[in-house]
Amino acid sequence: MPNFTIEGRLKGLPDPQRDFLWEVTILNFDLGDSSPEDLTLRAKNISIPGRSNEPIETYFYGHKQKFSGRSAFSNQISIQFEETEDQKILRTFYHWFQKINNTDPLQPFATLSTTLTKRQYAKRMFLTMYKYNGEEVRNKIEFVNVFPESIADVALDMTSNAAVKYDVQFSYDYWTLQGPDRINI
Amino acid sequence: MPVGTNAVELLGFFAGVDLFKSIQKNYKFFVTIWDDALKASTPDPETGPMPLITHWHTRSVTIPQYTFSKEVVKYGPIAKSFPVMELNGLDIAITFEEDEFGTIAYFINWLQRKIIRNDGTYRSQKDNRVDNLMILTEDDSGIPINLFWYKNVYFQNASPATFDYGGNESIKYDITFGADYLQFLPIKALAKANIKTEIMGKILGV
Repeated sequence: MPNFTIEGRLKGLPDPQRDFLWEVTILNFDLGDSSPEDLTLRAKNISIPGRSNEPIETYFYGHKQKFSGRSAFSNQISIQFEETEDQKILRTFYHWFQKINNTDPLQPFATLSTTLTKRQYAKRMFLTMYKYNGEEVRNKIEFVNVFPESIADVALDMTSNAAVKYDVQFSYDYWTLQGPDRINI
Repeated sequence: MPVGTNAVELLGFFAGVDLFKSIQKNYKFFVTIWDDALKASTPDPETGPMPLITHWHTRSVTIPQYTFSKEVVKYGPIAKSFPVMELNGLDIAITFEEDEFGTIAYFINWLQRKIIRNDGTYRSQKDNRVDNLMILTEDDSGIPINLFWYKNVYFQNASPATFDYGGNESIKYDITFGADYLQFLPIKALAKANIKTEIMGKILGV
């Protein structure tokens, strides 16, 4: 006999996924004296990335239909980092930007990149989300070919009372859903 | 049209099955350029080896077709017209995106040196061209749709590239090639036409 009671149906429903149970990890990290953990601990907010199929319209006899066209990603993801007094965030991203394009005229690599290919400055970044009991949820998100596009200005204010936070916009080429069933997704 | 015909047409338009409405996407293609010397591993001693042009060097391509003009014979007020092939070679326009090796600039220079030597003398017809330029179009499943295979391809011109301290984009070259003729292989449309002809033949009893 099917169970039509609300209570019976809700019994099988897992907990809602909390929006504060996550961490972000950047791999192949070789940026100054920082470690991936330094950024993971300081990241305070991020978005789950979107994706779209850009439609192509076609017409016949006054009727319109759409076909899915090319796949598109926003190719941008923002993360807000909270700075600590060791300036890990500022120094890490300054190092990353300088590695891509050195702008300091007093350094021998001025105007140059110290990387030979994109692969050397673009990283893999994982967004891992957790259950309330601390276990990882089934799938994590991998951002591929990540590098910083911009760091927003940060206002300092004598009349304020808040931590310094950096809004960093990253570029990425695409994202994939990683997990035990990646092939079947 | 008899009542119901338009409904069937509209059903076909929306049905989304293979024999009904589909659209070909303009970004599903590969351009392959190769010289037969590559196959034989014997580079032309005068020009050196052909640079390696990968599929992602191509940004866009415009495919030329054979064209015909109309020859008209008048019988009093009545006109009888005949198509006449108007072929002055085929012009293929391709936009290439340059890489950090300078492959495309080398390709242009290599194509130019195939035509004319440093001392100003021209090279022979058999030496002044690339043997093959192929454009393969595909459907969403990666199944080939058409193959446009241009033979005896030679360099005509390339757009000037602008280097700009105020710019922030990749270097691109628009190259126009000439070709003698086109071998066209309508892979999917031919199969569909065969099937349709067979079915219609059975329906009509012919």
